[in-house]
Amino acid sequence: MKSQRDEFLEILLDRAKKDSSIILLSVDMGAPAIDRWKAELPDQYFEMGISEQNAINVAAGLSRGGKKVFVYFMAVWIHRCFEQIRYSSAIGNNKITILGNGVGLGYAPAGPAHEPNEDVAVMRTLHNFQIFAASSSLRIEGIVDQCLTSSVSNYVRLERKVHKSAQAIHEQEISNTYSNCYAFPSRDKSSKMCILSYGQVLRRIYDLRLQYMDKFSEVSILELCKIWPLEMNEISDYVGTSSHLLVIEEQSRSGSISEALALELNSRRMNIEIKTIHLPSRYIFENGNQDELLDEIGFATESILQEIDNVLNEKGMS
Amino acid sequence: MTFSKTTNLNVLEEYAKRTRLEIYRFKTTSGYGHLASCLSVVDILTSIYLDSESKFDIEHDRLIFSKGHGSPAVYPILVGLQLIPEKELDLYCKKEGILRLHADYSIPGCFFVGGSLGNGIGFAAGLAIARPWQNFYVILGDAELYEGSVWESLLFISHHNLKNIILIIDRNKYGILGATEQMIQIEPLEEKFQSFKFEVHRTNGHDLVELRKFFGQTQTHPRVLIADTVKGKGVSFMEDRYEYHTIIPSDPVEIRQGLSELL
Repeated sequence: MKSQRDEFLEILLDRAKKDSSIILLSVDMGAPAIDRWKAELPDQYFEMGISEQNAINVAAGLSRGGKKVFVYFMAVWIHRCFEQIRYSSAIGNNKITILGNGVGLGYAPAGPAHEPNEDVAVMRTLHNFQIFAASSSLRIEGIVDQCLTSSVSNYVRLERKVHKSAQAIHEQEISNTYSNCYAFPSRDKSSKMCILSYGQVLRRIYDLRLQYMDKFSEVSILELCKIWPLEMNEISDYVGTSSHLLVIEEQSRSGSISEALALELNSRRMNIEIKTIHLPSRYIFENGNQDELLDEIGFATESILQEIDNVLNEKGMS
Repeated sequence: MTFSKTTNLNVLEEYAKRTRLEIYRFKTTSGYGHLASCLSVVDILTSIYLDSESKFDIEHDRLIFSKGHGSPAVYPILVGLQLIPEKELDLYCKKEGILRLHADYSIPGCFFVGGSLGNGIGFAAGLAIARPWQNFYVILGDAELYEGSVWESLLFISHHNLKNIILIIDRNKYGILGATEQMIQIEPLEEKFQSFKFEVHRTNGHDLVELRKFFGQTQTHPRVLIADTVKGKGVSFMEDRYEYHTIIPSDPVEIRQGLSELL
C-alpha cells in the first residue's frame, strides 16, 4: 500500500510521460517516487534546495510560460512562502499545484514546527486557489486529474502515513471515480445526524460505522475531497436532510472549514445544529504519535461515539 | 509622442529627457507612487527599448520589473512605442485609466505584477526555463537585494546556467530610510555576483554609450549589470535624497522648478 505522496507522484509521473509540459519541483524532499522522476524524466524535474520562496516564484514563472507545475514540500512550509504563493501565483492566477505532505499531526512527535494545524485556514484565505484532501490513496488519482485540469491553483493536503483500515474500507466501498464529496449512505437517504470530515481522520469514523452499524442507520457520513471552496450545493443537499451536523477536522477551529460551513448554512437559513471536534487552539508540544495525540485531544472513537449518542438519545430521537 | 528605435545618441537622450518629464508630470499631478525610483531607471529603459543596437526585441523578449515601484518609468516609453494610448498618462492611477502605481499583466507591454520585492527574479527564472527561446531582462532595486529570496534565485539561476537571464541592478544607493551602505552594507556587489558565476558589468547607469555596450552584447551567460544611478535623476532638489523615496513634490514652486529642470 502506497502513501498518498507516492501515489500522487507516481500517477503524476505517468501523466508527465505523455505530457512534457508537466513539471515537478521538489523542495528538499525525497521519496521513492522522486527517484523515479529523476531517473525517468530528468528534464521535467527540478531540485530546488531548501528554498520555498524561490520554488514558488520559479513555479509561477514556469506556469506563466505554459507549464503545468507541481511543487512538493512539507505542508507546514506554506507559511514560509505564503507571500510568494499569494503574490506570484494567486494574484496573477499563475496556476500551480502545491503538494503539502504531512498535514495535521502527521509529523508528530516532531512538534509544532512540523505540524500545521492552521494550513486550511491560511490557504482558504487566498483567491484563485482550491484545496483538496484525501482520506486514502484511492482518492489520489482523481485529485491528480482535477489539478491538471483546474482553472485555478491547487493545494493538495497529503497525509504522511498509510492508514490501513481506511484503505481497506475504501477498497470495499468506493470506486475511483472523482467526486468533490462522497456520501455514505448514498444521497437519497435521510439521517438524523450527519458527520462531515476530510483526510485521514475519516478512518476513525468509518471504523465506527463498521462496529456500530445499528447506530449508523441514523448517521450519515459526508467525506469532502475538495474541501475549498465549499461546494455548497452538493453539501447542503446532503447535510440538509439531517437535524444535526458533526464536523470533525484535524485542524484548529479558527478559520476552519466548520466555521465557513456554519456561515454558509446560516445564510441558506438551514436549521441544523452544528458541533465540532477540532485540534486545540494552541500549538501542540506533547510527545506522542499522531494517533496517540488525536486520542488525547478529543478524536478518540469513544469521544466521537459519545457525540453520536448524545444526538441519538435526545428526546424524540431513537 | 512617438519614439522609434535609433542609433542616434542625441535622439536617445531626447527620448530619455521626454520620458523623465512625462513621469514627473503624471506623478506630481496624481501624487501617487515612487517618483525618485522611477527617475533613476529611465536611461536604462531608454537603452533597452529604444537603442537600435540593443539586443532587446520587444516582440520577443520580456522585461520583468522586479522593482515594481519603479515600473511606471516604462509607461512613457510604451506610449512612445504606441503600445499604450498617450491619453493614459494623464489618467495614471485614475478610476478611468489603465496605468497603475505598480505595473501588472493588464497593461500592454507589462509582464509581471509589481509591488512585492524579491520575487521577480525567481519568476523570471521560471519563465527562462519554460521559454528558452526568449530573453528575460529583470530590473532589481539595490535595496531589493536585502530580500533573501533574491539570493535563493541567484543560486538557482547560477546552477542552471540560465543564459537567457539578464539582471539589471538599479544602484541608486538609497532605500526608503537612507543610504544602503549605512543601513546594511551590500557592497562589494561585483564580487558577490561573480561568486554566483554571473558575467558582471558595472557602469554609469545614465551613460547611454556605456549602456549600449552592455545591452548590445549577445547573451551567452547569465549576466548582471550593476548600473550606478542617481535617485531622483534630473531634479536637483530630489537627487540623492532618500527622503524622496516615497515623497512626491506637492508644493507648486517645487513642481515648477522640477519641470523647468527636466525641460
